[in-house]
Amino acid sequence: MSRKTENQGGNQESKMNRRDFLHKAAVGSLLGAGAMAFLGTMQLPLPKVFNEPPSIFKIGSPVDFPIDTYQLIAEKNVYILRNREGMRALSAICTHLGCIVTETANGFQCPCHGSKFTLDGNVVSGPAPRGLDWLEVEMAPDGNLTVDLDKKVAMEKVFSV
Amino acid sequence: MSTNESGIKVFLDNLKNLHRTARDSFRRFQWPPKSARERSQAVFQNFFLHIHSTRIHKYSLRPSFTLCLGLITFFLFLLLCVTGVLLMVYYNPSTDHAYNTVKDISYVVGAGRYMRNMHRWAAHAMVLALLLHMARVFYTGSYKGTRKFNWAIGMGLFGVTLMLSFSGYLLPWDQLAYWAITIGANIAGSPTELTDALGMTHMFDPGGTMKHLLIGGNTVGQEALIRFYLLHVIILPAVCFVLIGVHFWRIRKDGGLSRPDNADEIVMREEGVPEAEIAAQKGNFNLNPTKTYGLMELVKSKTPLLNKGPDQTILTYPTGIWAEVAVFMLTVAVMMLLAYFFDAPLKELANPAIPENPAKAPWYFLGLQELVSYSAFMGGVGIPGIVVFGLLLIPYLDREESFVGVWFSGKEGKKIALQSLLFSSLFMVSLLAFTVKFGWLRNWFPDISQLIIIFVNPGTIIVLVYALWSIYTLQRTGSTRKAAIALFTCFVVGFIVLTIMGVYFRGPNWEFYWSPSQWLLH
Repeated sequence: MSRKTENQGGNQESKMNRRDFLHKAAVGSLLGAGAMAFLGTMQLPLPKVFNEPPSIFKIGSPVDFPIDTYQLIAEKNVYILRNREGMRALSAICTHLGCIVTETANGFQCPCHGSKFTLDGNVVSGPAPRGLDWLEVEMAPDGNLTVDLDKKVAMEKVFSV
Repeated sequence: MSTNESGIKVFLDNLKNLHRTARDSFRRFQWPPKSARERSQAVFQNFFLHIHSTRIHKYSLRPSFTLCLGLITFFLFLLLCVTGVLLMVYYNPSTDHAYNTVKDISYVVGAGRYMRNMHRWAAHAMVLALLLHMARVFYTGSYKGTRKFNWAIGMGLFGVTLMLSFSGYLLPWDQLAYWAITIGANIAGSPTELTDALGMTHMFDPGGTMKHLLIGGNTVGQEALIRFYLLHVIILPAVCFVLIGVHFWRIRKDGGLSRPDNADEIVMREEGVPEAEIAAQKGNFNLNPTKTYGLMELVKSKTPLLNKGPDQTILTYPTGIWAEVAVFMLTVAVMMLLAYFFDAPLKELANPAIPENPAKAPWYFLGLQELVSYSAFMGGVGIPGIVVFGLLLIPYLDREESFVGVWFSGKEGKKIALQSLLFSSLFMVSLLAFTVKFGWLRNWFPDISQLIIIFVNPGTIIVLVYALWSIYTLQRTGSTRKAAIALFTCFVVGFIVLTIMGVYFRGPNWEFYWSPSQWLLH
């Protein structure tokens, strides 16, 4: 029983014969398999676990922070601010390239490329692309305040105490 | 007929001739070589030497042509491998121990201080030699014709060398290392600046992926140290060796080092050959020669050696080999002096809470750091990417075949280079003076969008002005080579000026100071 030659691709002008189709399919699947293998292998160097301390940490109870002052927690590079409404946390990591800002008379300055920030964290000069990040302040069940380094919040958000 | 006695005699004979038999099994040719054939064999039958051709053109041996820069770069690399392995005997790539092992090497280990110094200065010297080598190859037009691809291989070597330097920089785990790599990793992550400005980071964050791949986390720590160690001691050196092999192979296949069309005449004139004889030997090599040549001398192929006779060439052994040995000895001698008199710096132990102020990259990255102080993405990724891409394209966009092997392609090219030198120096100094005195966009419009700053900052202005100058040169001279000379010279000047700015005139907070004596103490 004979069968008509299949028309691969449906184009009358440029019919590919079976041999060329199989060849292209073989090479294609080899390349595809290679690409998948490569992508799979590349999962190894991409870190899935960060051996860093947990992003949430305790900072003490509200009585440790007088109203209308701010304090630096040096090990975590965070400034804790308290005003009449409550607590806020400001990251001390410069948004340009990750150096730690230092305090100046009316704000903060980054020693690496001179980005200047106000006390509210807004950029006034220098190459920083945006203001300093504000971080979420919460309270743990035992009454201590916590800061989450991975949760950014708006500047106006205050944790009332 | 073998009796016990003659058997022992044969054995004793063999024992007596042991040294000769052993030596002959090792050598496959006459030693010392006395004829041209034997000298050729000394090179091409030797595993380590046979990358050389058996004959080289006398012009290639002129130090004033190549300034031996390629060889110097290679020998410095070998020196770095040797001193590097020695340092690996004591170095421990763990954040708890790295710093102390480096201190041990410097103060306790026998010859440790010397080896560490040699490693550090050879690294700096290699980058310098490499930059000068690239400039030499460019200005002598040695990227043209069959040599286009070798220029691309050279650019690959350039990238690998810079990465080797960058990865090695973290290993001492001192303040300088820690903060330089923190900045470097954030530069790798700086595409996030662009995706943030476009509001697409949550969907597509190549910057974040690149940073995680590089340092294995969000901050520089043990994972980063191990990854950089891995890159520095095995991955990058292996890649470098392979690329060096291809680079040398291509030099052979492209007909040896480039030389001007009249190289034969120049060499003969210098040797005092009478003008009449020079004129007689001009023109195509006689393909029906009256004397015979060995196979290793006549090669029919696509290379520039076609139809040329070997008459102005000289046997590689011994002259060429001695020349290389001389360059090697000179390089090592200079490194030995530097290592003896100057100590490699070591600051305090890395402290993630206290950034260095100012935190300065090594000198060859300070130009980049100056650019980065305007915009992280443009200065760290965008502009270097454009520059590298532009450099890669040079042999493919400038295909004029004339004046290969001639510095600046002649007098007119020299004039263009001088004009570009003048123009770009004035421009760079004015632009930098302007930014120091008046600041930039964010100083005048604090709420301006970051997207505008990414595309309109001193770095992008420099690239734009250089491109315009080059196009202007192209229009008034009609020559792609001259436009290339103009552009390359502009970038060389730009690089030098930015580096000088970063080295001498930037102090704490990256502010402008006329002199380090004015820096405020912190």
